[in-house]
Amino acid sequence: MVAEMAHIFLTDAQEMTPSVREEEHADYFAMLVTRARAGDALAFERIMLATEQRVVSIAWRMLGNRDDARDAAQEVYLRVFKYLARFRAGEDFRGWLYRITINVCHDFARKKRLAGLTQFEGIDLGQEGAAFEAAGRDGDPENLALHAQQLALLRRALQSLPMKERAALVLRDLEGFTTEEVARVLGSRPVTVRSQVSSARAKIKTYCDKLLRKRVG
Amino acid sequence: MRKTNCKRMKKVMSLYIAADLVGEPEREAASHLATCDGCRQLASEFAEGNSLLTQACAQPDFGGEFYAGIRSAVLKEISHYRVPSKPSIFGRRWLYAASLAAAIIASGVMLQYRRSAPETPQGLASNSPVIDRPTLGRAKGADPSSSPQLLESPRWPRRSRRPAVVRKPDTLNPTGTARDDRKEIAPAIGALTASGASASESATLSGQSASSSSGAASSSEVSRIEIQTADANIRIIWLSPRDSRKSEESNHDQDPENGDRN
Repeated sequence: MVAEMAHIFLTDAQEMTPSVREEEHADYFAMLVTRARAGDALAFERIMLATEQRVVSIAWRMLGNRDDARDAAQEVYLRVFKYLARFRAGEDFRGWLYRITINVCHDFARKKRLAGLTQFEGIDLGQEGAAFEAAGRDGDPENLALHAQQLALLRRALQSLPMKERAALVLRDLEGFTTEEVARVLGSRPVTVRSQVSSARAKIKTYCDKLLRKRVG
Repeated sequence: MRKTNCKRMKKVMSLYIAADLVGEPEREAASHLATCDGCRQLASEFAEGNSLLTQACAQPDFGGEFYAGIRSAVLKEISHYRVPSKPSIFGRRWLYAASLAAAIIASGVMLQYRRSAPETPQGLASNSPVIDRPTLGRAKGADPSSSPQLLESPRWPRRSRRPAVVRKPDTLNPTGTARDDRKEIAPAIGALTASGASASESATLSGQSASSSSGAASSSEVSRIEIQTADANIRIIWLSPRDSRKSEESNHDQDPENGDRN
């Protein structure tokens, strides 16, 4: 039963209409959570299968490198398992999961700061991802290098943001959540989220302008 | 006017680009952009920055092994762990809170107990020497059998009873009894003033007698009262056997100089 439902959601999820998908998702997760609470490891694995990409994506964007993202994702699922009993039936499971993810990323970033690492140490700067492919569309090596440099700069700019603004920007602009969803995940108001996102975008632009001006000068 | 609009536009530009502006602000921004080249340029920079950021943070394909590694690590870890069926009321946080509350209650009880307990041990209080200064009051025909009660101020609650040796002279007799005593002591004062003590000094005599009697009344066999007059060379001392004191009380009052005088 669980395997069947997981199969449905892992293969056909894209073809469903959003409202049906949301409802089905809620039921699906409610059922998996109930079973996982009862000690069903398979149900918990299904939960991980259905959510791991998004969790890793948020962690990678928040922390800036692959190893931290992996450790954070592991910690997220351990916390989910530990506090599964506290999850209230009827609550949005994914919202709860992403809130845990953001909290874990906060903790990791704080540990990093305490360990004396700067916010830019260990950031993946353009070695991976589709960014390079997009950059090399015209095939000009000079343009490719310039574009790669811009992308690396933007990643640095993102990591230079305060954690709350970074979380709001990652969820809103990069993960594609609506402002209201971001507010629910972060436990704040939509107005606050709008303000944080707006401030984050302006800071990133200022950061990049300043550095580019410095290099040109 | 236009500058003001540009300033406002800069503030909301990022929201406008991300379609976070709705209603009137959105219409205002759109109409301003249609007329202002500088703001249009700024808007295109923001839009480009957003798309570049999306590219820069496009999630790389970590591969199936990466995710499988996460899953296996988590499953291995949770195999040693049992999920509590429901939130425990005996969680660590609750235990801390309960122990803190218990400590506060215990300290409160201890404090209350210490306050309510006599400041000196009961045995010491009962064995403490009794000052005989108020015996002057007994001359008013008080029943000798009730003399222990007369020695104490009636206003003092029982729990605050202290040994007489630490009583201050003014607090020793704070009631009207003290005034009566002074009236009774008038003959003695008269005698003292005759020997050089002034009237004001005589008013403090009773207090001085109380404080000076601390060392004097140390014997359980003999009661001793000392009165230090203003003249350092003159001190009045009464010595009377405890048993015979009751019978002598009336005599003391009638003849206060029935004692040694140094």
